[in-house]
Amino acid sequence: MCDRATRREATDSCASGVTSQHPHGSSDIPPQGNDIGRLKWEYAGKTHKMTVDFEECIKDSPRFRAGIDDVETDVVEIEAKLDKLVKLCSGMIEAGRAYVSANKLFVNGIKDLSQQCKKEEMISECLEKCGESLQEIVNYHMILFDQAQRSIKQQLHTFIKEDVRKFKDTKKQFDRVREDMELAQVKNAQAPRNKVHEAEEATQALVLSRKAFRHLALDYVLQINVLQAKKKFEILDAMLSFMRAQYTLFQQGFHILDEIDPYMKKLAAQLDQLVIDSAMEKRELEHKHALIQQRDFSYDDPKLEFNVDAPNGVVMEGYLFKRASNAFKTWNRRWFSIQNSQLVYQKKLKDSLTVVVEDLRLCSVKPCEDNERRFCFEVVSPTKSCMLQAESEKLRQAWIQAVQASIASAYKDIADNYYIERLDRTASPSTSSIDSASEPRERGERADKGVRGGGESLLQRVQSLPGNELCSDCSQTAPCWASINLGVLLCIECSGIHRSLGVHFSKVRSLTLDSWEPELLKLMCELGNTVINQIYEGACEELGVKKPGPTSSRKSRLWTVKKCQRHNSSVRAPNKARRKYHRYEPGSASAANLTAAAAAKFRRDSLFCPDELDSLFSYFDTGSGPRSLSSDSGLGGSTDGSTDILVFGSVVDSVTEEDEESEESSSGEVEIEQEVSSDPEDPRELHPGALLHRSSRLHNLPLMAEALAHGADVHAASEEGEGKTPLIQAVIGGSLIACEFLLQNGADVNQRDMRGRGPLHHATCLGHTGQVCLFLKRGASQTEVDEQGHDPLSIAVQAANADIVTLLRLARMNEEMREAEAPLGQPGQYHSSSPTEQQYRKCIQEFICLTIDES
Amino acid sequence: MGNRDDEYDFLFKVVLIGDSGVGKSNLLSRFTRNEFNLESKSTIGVEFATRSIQVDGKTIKAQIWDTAGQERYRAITSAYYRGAVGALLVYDIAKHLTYENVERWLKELRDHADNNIVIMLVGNKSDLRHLRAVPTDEARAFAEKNTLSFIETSALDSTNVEEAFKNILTEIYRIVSQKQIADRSAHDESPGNNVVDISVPPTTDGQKGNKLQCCQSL
Repeated sequence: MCDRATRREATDSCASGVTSQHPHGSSDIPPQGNDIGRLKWEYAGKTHKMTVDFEECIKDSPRFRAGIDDVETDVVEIEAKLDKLVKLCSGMIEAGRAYVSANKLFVNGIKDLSQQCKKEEMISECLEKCGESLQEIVNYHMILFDQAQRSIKQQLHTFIKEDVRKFKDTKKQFDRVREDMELAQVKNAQAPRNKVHEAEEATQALVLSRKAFRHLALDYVLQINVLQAKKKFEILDAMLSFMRAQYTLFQQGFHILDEIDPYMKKLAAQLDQLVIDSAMEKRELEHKHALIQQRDFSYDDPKLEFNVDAPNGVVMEGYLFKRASNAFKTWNRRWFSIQNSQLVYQKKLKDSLTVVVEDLRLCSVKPCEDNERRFCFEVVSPTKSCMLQAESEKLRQAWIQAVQASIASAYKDIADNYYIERLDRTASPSTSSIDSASEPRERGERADKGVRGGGESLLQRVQSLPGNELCSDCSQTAPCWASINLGVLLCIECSGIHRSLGVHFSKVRSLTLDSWEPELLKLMCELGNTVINQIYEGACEELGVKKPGPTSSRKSRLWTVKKCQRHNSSVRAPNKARRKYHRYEPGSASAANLTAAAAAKFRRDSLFCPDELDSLFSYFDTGSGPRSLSSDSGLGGSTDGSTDILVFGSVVDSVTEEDEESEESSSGEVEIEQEVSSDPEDPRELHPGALLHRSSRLHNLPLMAEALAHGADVHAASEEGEGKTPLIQAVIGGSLIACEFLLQNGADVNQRDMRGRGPLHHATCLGHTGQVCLFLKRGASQTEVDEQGHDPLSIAVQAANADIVTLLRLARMNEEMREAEAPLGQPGQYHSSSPTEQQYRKCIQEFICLTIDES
Repeated sequence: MGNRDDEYDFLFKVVLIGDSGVGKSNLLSRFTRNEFNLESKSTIGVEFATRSIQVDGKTIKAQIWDTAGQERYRAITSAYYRGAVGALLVYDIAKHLTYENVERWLKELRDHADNNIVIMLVGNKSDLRHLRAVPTDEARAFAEKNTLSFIETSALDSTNVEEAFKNILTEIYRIVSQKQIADRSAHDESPGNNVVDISVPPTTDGQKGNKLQCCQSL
């Protein structure tokens, strides 16, 4: 309102056409008026010059009025301009703040990046430094805008709002009083001459109003002058402080940047170097690219692609497509390699290798044309066939050749052994020189095999067991055959003799030509020629049988083996021993405590060939009580006098022939003897049947072998142990290998105890997953129920053993599938080809391996 | 055993997967034995069941594997998926979390199963209308996005259970028989090859061979 009023007044005064002293730029205009005004003014503003003269004010001349009008107009305009400036300033500050916050975000982005690039020191250092500097600069900007806010916006705003308003208020008052005065003047003028009282009154009023006007006018003029002066320094001050702020901003910014300038220069130099380096690297890479291109051209050359004698054992490797065996026949790209006479593949590096062909010798490879895809070839093994696809015809040929070469080399590995044995069999006994000649080669080959992994190394372990370097029966070197139920290695000729005796005596397998399940290899590892010969040969020597050599005739070997076998199996425990068998039973409660002691004792005992010692003692003292079992057997054998003498001699021989450890025998003999007699729980004293029970429970394969050698019945149920068989004892003992050993020696996998529980029941009850698998593999029936009417599956379900439940159900389903299948196809067909069967077997075998690895 | 009921032209292994408590075992028992148990306990280990259906005059035997997944060893996990040609991925329409976990199960399938495995998303317990937490349209859209078949079932009132299994088995059959045709034509192009192709389509004589071939579907 007042704004408008002033403006109107201003225009009015302009319209009146009165000119006056120019109030604008008043500093240029020389001061006018008297000393009082000057004095007053000087008091107010010292150096400032008056805008409106006081004298004129008192006169209220038109000049004064025009001056006032000018000033008022000026104030209005200044106010408008300042107002606008304040608004612009606000805009600038707002935009500036937005800029600052955007800048902050940007700096944060830089910091983030530097965090990410922590590994690359150069980048992270650069980003960190620049980020810090920029952060500082942003902060300075922030300060600048704060300053602008304070100096310009607030200061000027206050000026407008307070000083100018005050001025306007005064002006309003001034205008009113002037009007009053003018009114009084008119009244005074109108006062009639004759009415003295009235005239006097009017004059009085005029005097009063004039007085008031003059005071106010002076006040007003003062206000005007003050305002004009204040306007000046407010503006100047605001401007100056803003400029100061700008100055500080740039100076501080400069300082900051100046500080990191050396770093920037250094960085620039490094950058140049980097550009040069990377250009060089790029050129090098391009060069490599060219090399690869060159190689790509030669990539089709298959001759370079496989190497049978590769030092790392990998004959060939590369990507092939493999057709899945499921109904979809999905083709998957996999990384295949031929290594260790196996064809294997994997999907990712972390995946374990999947074996396609376990033994390349048992497979054949052929190109396959009747497929919708090109470049296919098929690898056929006894259990399955695998369709593979190469990238090109040449690569297919390369792979086929590589497989064939690997097959050939796998055969070559064993061919030498084979050759020697054949030669040995056909040639006269005197050609043993060939053996020694072939020996170094043999060793070399074995060293080669050492590079290979997995089952091969376990096989190696078997071959490196004590005594296994020679044939168990005839001491021929490098035996390549094994009797898996006896746990010994044999030469080919002795293996033939074993075979001729039937599988109830010895189950023969080739170390190299047959495939070996891990549980069998592990079994072989726990026995070995030395251990077994200590059990069997003692008896032979009692009989006066001389151990045959590599040159012995087949007849003499046969006789020896038969004699030994007959001798051992014909041993029957006398009454005395049977008594001990009973004594053993209560002792079985503390079986666990005995485990370590018995095992340790056996190991020590075995150094002295106990059978030989036994027979020695029995010779002098036939009535020796505690050593009854072995001495009995000695007695049983010494029916004819002439052999007795031989026995004596052979014992002496064998002791001296024993390895270096025999020196201890003189001192150890007494000690052992004492130990044996003082310990009534010595397993060796037991009846063979009891010994088998206990050793099965203790997972002591050598003792088990000894018990079997002495004719322990593998089916014998212990009367006091609820009719438990040795196999059930082995289950309770928890050893998978002990079970395997008993099964290999004819134990019945389905023989149940008095409570109607078979080995599968027990293994399920105890949660022995590996054993469950072993029994399923050996065809254990799972339909039998125990006396409480539980079959193994219901026991497993009750125990919530998910793995065993699954395995039993899987076996059941497999059996059902097999039965459903049988009448249609040939009986054997389902076995090898059915995926259900294969899956089942794989699963079972995986669990057996897991158990073996864990033990 | 071994009677005519056991004969089949194709044998397909189908696995049931999904969170526990979504009704996998009841779907299995409803389909194979027409049984339903409201109070059934959690499955222990893997359960197997079979049932044969007819598609295009062919007998298709479904060997269905069901598990609660608490087996300790990887040996069983890998055996579970090995050779499976179909998977019913089951969730409970009344429990949203079981639907959210479908993604996890898909990943499990990608990691362990054949690339071509036919997957059907099954929203079970459709009888629980008042408790529905997963809208049908949402699940269907999800299934379409992931190229899965989709069906809602109720093992309790038998709704769509037959259809679910029949649909997936038919789909598998279509794929497998198409592959056979492809194989056969490839074979025809090289008649000179003396390798016996066991995937010859069934004539009365070739049935045995054909059957052998489908055993490989496991």
